[in-house]
Amino acid sequence: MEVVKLKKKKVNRGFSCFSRGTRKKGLSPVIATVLLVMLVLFLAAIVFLWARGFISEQIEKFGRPIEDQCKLVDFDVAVVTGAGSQYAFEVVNHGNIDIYNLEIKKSKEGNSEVSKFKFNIPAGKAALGDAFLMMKDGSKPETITVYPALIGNVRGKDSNKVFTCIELGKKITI
Amino acid sequence: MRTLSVLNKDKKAVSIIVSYVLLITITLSLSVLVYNWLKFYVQPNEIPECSDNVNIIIQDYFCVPSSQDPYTGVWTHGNLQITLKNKGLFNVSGFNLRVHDREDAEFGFYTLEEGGVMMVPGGDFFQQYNFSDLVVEPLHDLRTITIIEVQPFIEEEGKVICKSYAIQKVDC
Repeated sequence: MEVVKLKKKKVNRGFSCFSRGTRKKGLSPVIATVLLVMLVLFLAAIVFLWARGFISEQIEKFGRPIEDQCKLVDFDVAVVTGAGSQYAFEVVNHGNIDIYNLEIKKSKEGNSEVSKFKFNIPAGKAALGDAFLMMKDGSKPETITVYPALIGNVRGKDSNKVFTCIELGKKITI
Repeated sequence: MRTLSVLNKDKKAVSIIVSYVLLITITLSLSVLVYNWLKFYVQPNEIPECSDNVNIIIQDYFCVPSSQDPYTGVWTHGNLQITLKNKGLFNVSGFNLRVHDREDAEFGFYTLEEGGVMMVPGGDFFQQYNFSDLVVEPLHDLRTITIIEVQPFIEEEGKVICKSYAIQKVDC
């Protein structure tokens, strides 16, 4: 019996390396768990804030993703050469959704610049408007690509945002 | 847990049941978040569209250009007489008729008709439009026309403009 008791004491001493013979401990298991959970939540928050930049805002129009509404856009555009740097645009909205404005990409010798023009064209209507089409260096662009843009609501927020339907661009050589 | 018991402590940090509850709660919360985010993108497609079998053609037209009196200088407005036919399989509720006067125009721009009449399959419609009868903006003093464009629409939970439309280059 005596031998067994001594052995047990030895084992206990071996595990209590932090206590050094006393019964005090560094951290209770509850505090350690709370710390772990807090650390995980803190890291999750950091990762979420970082990853949020990669996920675009959800914009809706008539209760649907605005990307789907782009499929309803059908438009024709012609540039009528104007005086100086101003060009007249003829735009017909053949689709079932209002076009909020036009985004125009001006290209020349591999460079491109993008401008937005307020050009509200209701569904089924036509509109005539002017736009300044010169590049920043004052030269005339070789080609322009006209993209329609729609306005929608940012989901979960009380704000509007313009969305450009980039797959519907129409290229025009000037 | 075994390590803790080796330290001669009967107390436990988090019981197994509590840890299960926490895990399941976290999983369910994440599922709800992801579901709400994805639900927006996978809604059924319920956008009303025209059938592919909606088809209106320009069966016939006659164009009279505007003319100017050589003595008084007064312009007499021309007109367009047009016959449309519904060659599709469905009724159309009406049509938009647009024209252009630019030589190199590829689509109609000035609206002569916005509404039209209902046309049944096989039915036709004749109408004369004066060049001065432009109904909506942009207004313009038409002297001649170079292109005619007719775009049908149907009434289905509102006006649905059809993607297929008839275009005819004309010599007026």
